[in-house]
Amino acid sequence: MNERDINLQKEAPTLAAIGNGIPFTVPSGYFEELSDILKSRVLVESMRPDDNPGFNVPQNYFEELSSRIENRASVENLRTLVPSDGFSLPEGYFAELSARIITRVENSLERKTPVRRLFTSLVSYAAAACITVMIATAIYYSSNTYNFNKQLSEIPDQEIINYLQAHSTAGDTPFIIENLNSGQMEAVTPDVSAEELELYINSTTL
Amino acid sequence: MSNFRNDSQLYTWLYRIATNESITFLNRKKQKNNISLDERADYDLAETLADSPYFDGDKAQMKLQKALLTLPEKQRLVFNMKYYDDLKYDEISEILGTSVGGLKASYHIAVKKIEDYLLNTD
Repeated sequence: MNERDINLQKEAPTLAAIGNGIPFTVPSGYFEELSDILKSRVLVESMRPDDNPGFNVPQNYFEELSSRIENRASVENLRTLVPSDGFSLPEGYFAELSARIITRVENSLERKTPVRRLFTSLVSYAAAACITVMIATAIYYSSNTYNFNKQLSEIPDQEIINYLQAHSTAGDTPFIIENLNSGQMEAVTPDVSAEELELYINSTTL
Repeated sequence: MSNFRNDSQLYTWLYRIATNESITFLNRKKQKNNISLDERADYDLAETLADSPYFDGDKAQMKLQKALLTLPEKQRLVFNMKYYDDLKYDEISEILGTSVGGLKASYHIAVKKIEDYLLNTD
């Protein structure tokens, strides 16, 4: 008996009586196959890529697992206590659901959104007509004036003078005087002096 | 093997690797099975121990294994290394990175707890 056993006998006699034989066995052929098993395991580990162990679990999976299971158990327990949540569906809801959806979709396609114009077509036509009339009127008057002046310019001046002398009235005189300049005045009355004209005008003024 | 710095014995180096890998494996298994309480995990292990096809001991050894499952992880490690593997405190210190004094204290406390369990439990 060595020193260790002597000390153990004093401190723990019951333990010393049991002995230190190992009460476990290994499977048959364990040690004979151990070297081959180890070599194959080493080979498998060496072939495994470092960055991809094959399968991964989400982060913190095992840390949160217990709380997740407890929550699930609580929910299941709650379901046994309260089997119904108070809500129910109408009868035949799912049976008619597809037909109802199809009908609603068809209705939405047929319905057209009304488009209201800011300006109606009648107002547009009226506006276009007014503008057209205004433009036509302007063109008409400008063309009339132009034609009249053109025709007048083709008539010789002497003919105009003869016409005016034959058809002038008393009312034309102020107009004629206004439009005559001094040069033209001398051409019309070369033999009449200014004093004689003034005398005439004073005697005949209305 | 390329990482072995030759500053310790090969045996202790391998033992340390095996210990760390085993602890990592068990922790991952606990996480995947969503076992958050160590007491619950140890209780499940104790229950499955009796049905395990690889347990070859008698009733007393079964009781001892159940007693071990009541220990904290560090104490259990120290006890297993000292009691079953008969490692020296220096070697255990190298493997676990704990001082020799701390290891002696852990082992002493573990022995006491196991003795109490064996005496007071049917």
